[in-house]
Amino acid sequence: MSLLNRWNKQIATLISGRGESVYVARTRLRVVQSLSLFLFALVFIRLTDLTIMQSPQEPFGDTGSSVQSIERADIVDRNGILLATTLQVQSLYADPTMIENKAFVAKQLENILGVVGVDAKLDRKGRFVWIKRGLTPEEHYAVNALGVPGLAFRTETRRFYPQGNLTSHLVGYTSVDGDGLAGMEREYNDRLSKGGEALSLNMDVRVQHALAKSLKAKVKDFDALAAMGGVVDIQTGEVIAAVSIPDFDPHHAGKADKESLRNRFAHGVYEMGSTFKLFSTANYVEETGKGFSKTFDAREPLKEGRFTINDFHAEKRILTLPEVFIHSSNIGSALMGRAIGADAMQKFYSDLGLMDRVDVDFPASPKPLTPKPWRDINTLTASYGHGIAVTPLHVLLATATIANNGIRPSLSFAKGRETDDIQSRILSASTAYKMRQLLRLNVTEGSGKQADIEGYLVGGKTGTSEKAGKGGYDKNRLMSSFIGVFPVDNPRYAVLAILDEPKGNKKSFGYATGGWTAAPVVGDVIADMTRILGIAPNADAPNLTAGLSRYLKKETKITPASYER
Amino acid sequence: MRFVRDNKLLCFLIFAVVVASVGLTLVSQRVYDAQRSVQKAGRDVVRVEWDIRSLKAELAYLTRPDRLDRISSNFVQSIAPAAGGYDMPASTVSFSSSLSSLPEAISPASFDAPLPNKKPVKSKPILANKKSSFDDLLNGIGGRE
Repeated sequence: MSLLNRWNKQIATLISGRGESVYVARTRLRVVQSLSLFLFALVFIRLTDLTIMQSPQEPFGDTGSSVQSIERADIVDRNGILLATTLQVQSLYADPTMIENKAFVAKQLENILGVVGVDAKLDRKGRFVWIKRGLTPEEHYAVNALGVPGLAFRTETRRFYPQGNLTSHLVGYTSVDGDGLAGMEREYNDRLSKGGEALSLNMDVRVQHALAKSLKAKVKDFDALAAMGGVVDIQTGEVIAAVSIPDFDPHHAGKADKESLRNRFAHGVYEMGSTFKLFSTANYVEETGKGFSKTFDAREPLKEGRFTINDFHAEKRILTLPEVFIHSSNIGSALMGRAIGADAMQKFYSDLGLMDRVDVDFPASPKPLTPKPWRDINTLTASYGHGIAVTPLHVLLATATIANNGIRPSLSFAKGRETDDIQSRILSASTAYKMRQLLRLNVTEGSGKQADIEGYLVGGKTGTSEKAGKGGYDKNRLMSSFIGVFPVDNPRYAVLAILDEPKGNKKSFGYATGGWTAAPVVGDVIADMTRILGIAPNADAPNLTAGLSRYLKKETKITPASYER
Repeated sequence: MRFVRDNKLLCFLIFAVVVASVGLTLVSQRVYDAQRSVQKAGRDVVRVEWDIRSLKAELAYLTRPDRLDRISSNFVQSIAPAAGGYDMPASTVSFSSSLSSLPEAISPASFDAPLPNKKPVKSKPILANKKSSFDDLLNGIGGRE
């Protein structure tokens, strides 16, 4: 007989007469006992499961470091190379009340972090003081290794630019709060703030480097004040490279000086000088229908009212249209301007985009400085790039229009840019072809020889303008430029290089003109681009300048009625 | 047992309650565990995403065109042609002054031919720029010269 039964029997015997109710009560007690035992068993099993059976790998609680979701989207170049990204950094703060030996700790921190004034911070009242924000992993480790209670870290996010100075002007930078302040960071601030897919630019960082490297070398060689340049895909309007020198470190934009922060490529307006002859000549050919046989009397300076227009290295003879171009005759161009007329020139320049802001996805695109009112003398000077100041972007756009068979592309810095600007034909294909011939002729026979590279057809135009100073133009302060197009038989890219105030050296025989300073930059960049982009030389390329030699005569015998004067 | 016999429905109900409560407890614990796992996985994903971003940024920094330019020019300068008995490494870069001196282009059909097995030549170590490091990037140092 079991113990329980015996016990039951004894109780029943003791409490005789009340067997039934005792039995019921006993049963109820058993049920309650069982349930309680069962519940405790459940808890025991669960505890065993949690502590022994599952044996957690990671602590359940938060480790203390908050893992934030990624807030701002990356910026990459056309090949996916990272230009801007957001990373987590550790920022160090202190609770001075928990630090005993403040002087010792302050000295340790100053040694590790390279900052000063930590002792003053630790002497402050209060329970929170920043010591340094944005520590490097090495600094983080070293401070952590001190083991000082009262020092703690907070995880923050910070914008990083792996390409550094190379893309500082184009990509821009953000504020401490993560708002874009310049460049693409500012232009696409709303899109970037939403996170998600990276913003892809049209820029190729390799071409950007090639352009920056060449410009910096020339700035050094010619002791120039500054330089700027750009590369544009003529057919699509994509800006492949955009450089402004001096540049700055985007991680410390607040400490950069004004000159370094100034984006000369997108925001600087300059009188471009003879590069404008590309546009005025195209205007003349399109407007008058004249060909290469047209001649211009450049034997004497041209007088217009109280102004006198001279040639630099004057030929002092009758020049054909190609000769005006390759000898960069101001007189010849001014005569073309006179023949075009003010209204026609203004309209043509406006169609090329030279009279208004460039429609492009870059912040604060400035308006060109144009003569107001536009007088006859302005027509003459505008024909050779004086009296009208534009940005380098304007020059690239206008050149791309001419080289792109007369169709104006829409410029864009970022891929997939939505624009209302429709590609429109500005000049006829035949005029565009003639201009390509002249561009090539200028490189083979004219001032652009230093831009020529073997195996590729490069065309281009030099420009050297004097900068305006007190009392007129200063001969010693030049803006030297070269606008190149290649391959000129089937143009794909336009390359512009400008040096601000270059000074002649021995190699250039003292000259600081565009042909000596800027043209070599374009040649170097094009040579690099052929390797970077895998552009093979075209052995079957047509000779654009075939037959043009008959227009390059020393003395052209013609009747006075046939030439412009 | 008499109690069970006399109160079959009640016992069945008690049994059902016990079974249901055990089941619900187990299920709720499993769901709770699963939720914690999902949350933990989510945190891990975000953490790993940050790590990947750091690595990508470091890769972009280390493969900057100016840095590669510097390293490649150091490497090319370190390879000097020696007199007699010296096998030039297959990776030697030679610069020609004109296109005409370059060999003719290989036609694509010849790419199918197997390349001869050459004994690998030990090349000299690349002279790394010791000043450049990702920490320099975080310090704002190491920009373009």
